[in-house]
Amino acid sequence: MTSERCLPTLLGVHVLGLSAPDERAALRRHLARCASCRAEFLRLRDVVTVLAAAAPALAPRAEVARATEAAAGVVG
Amino acid sequence: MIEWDPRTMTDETLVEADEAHADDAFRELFRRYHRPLYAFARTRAGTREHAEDVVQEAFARLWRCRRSFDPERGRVAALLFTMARNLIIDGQRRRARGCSMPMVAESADTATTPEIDVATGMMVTAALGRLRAGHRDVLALAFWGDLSQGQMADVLRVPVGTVKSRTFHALRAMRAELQLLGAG
Repeated sequence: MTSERCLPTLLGVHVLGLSAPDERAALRRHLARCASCRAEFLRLRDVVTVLAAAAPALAPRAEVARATEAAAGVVG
Repeated sequence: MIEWDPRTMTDETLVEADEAHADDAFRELFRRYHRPLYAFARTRAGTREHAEDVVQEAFARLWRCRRSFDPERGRVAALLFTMARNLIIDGQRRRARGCSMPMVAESADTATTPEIDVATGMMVTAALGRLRAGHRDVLALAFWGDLSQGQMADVLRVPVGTVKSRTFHALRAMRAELQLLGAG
């Protein structure tokens, strides 16, 4: 039993690489001591891996840049 | 002569750039936000074509009206996403045939990157489409943009604490959907 509170909601921004350095450090210390958060961290990291593999599927085509510049009146 | 470097400038400074630097300023704002804006639109707008139209129009409107941009009323990024939201709603009204799907996986999404697994791409697109809008939004912004927690909070108009908890729940929901689709 850990005397430290689990904060699983911090895991989301952590696996997405969005956490601030102090948040990261605090979470790393907690993960070293908490098996259930560690297990959740690994599960969420697997989701991120799948999302990252498919990220190009939702990336805009190169044509969008050209068409947008034209629409905005930006000279090439 | 001081070099004018758009990459070091704030969004608001870029919007207020003078005519000599306007094109470079626009390109920098586009570079910063078009990817998350497209992902955001793509996960809400249903089709690639609609998402592309939304991105073009949002940036075009921002730039055409930049002289009347008022920093007191909010940040540039939030304005872009608000315009995109409204354009998506307007577009859906015009396209409505009584059945609006939040997101349609198109094989064309993966056609531009043949090296990725088409099946994975379509599975992720399908799973994303089944999430609630708030969860889709945070994943779209986190994955397709370099936005910080603070910028995400700004764009989505929620507190930073909500960004934290929402990303957590979004990833858990994504995991459940992927499992349902046979991914794990």
